[in-house]
Amino acid sequence: MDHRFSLHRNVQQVLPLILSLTPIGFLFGIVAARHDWSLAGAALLSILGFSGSGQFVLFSLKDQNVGWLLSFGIILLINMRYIPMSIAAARPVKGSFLTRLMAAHCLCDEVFAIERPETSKWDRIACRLLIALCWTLGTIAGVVCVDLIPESVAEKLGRISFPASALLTLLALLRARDFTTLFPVRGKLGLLAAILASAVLYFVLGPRLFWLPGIAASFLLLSLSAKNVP
Amino acid sequence: MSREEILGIVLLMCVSLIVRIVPALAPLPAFLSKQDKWEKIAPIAVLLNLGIYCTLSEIQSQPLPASIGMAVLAALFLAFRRCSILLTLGLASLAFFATVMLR
Repeated sequence: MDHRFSLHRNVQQVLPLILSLTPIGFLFGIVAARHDWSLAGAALLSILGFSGSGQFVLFSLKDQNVGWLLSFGIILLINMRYIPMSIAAARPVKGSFLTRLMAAHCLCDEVFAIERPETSKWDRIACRLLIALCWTLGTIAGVVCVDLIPESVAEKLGRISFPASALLTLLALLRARDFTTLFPVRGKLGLLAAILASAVLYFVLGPRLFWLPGIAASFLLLSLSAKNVP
Repeated sequence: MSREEILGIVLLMCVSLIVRIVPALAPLPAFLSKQDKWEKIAPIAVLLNLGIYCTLSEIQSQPLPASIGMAVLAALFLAFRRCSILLTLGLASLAFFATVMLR
């Protein structure tokens, strides 16, 4: 496999992500504009606070008059999943402090899903920046076009979270398939056990609290299934 | 920019700092750096939970359309070893939106 940097290959790789995320960025722009945010404010939030779900939750909490400190706690809780992701994705990205800082800030669920151990540093950085750029451009387009979109249509656009969720589920399935190729029998058992454990934790602890216990349980079960296998 | 906009931006920047930047820039804890498995298995563990979160939250929000959409996705994934991401995603989304429209 060729590990040299190629913008064309990176664009091809992130195209499905761009197609499913840019409309959500657009929707976020509409939401921000409907909350009387300026173009600069919404764009800066997408660049400096690049967080996808966290950005939507921020407005939802403001609608419910939740205070800033509690909002911070809730959004932090939702984004705790990034901690193990960042640790796992950071080692291959070497370079200056600024490069590593930028690469770390632009890490998102979807890019994390397509990065492989063999993905080069520049490919990782290019994909992360492309996604962050498209998300921000989507936001800007949403703010600019807000007056052109009727309220009823904007409400229906809220349903476009499905393609992004389906994409993440598919990327997870593809990565799980790779794992079972490496560890055919025990891998499948480990995966099933990990899926069951995480689903149970999701229902018991709820969608905000299940992240760290779910990831820890999955890691443990997958590690056990991969134990002593060459 | 208004005070609310500045506070919102700072809030999300702080979250990014805590959950993405600090873990990426801080040295890897010793107990993890000794495990070769960490880099290989942690991404799968995180993705698995992401997949579960996405599937269950979509189904909880719109039970029938999301169940049908995810079932189409799972069927295509199982039927074709080398499935096109765009095609699979397109067909699953089509099934989802068709169910939303028909209801």
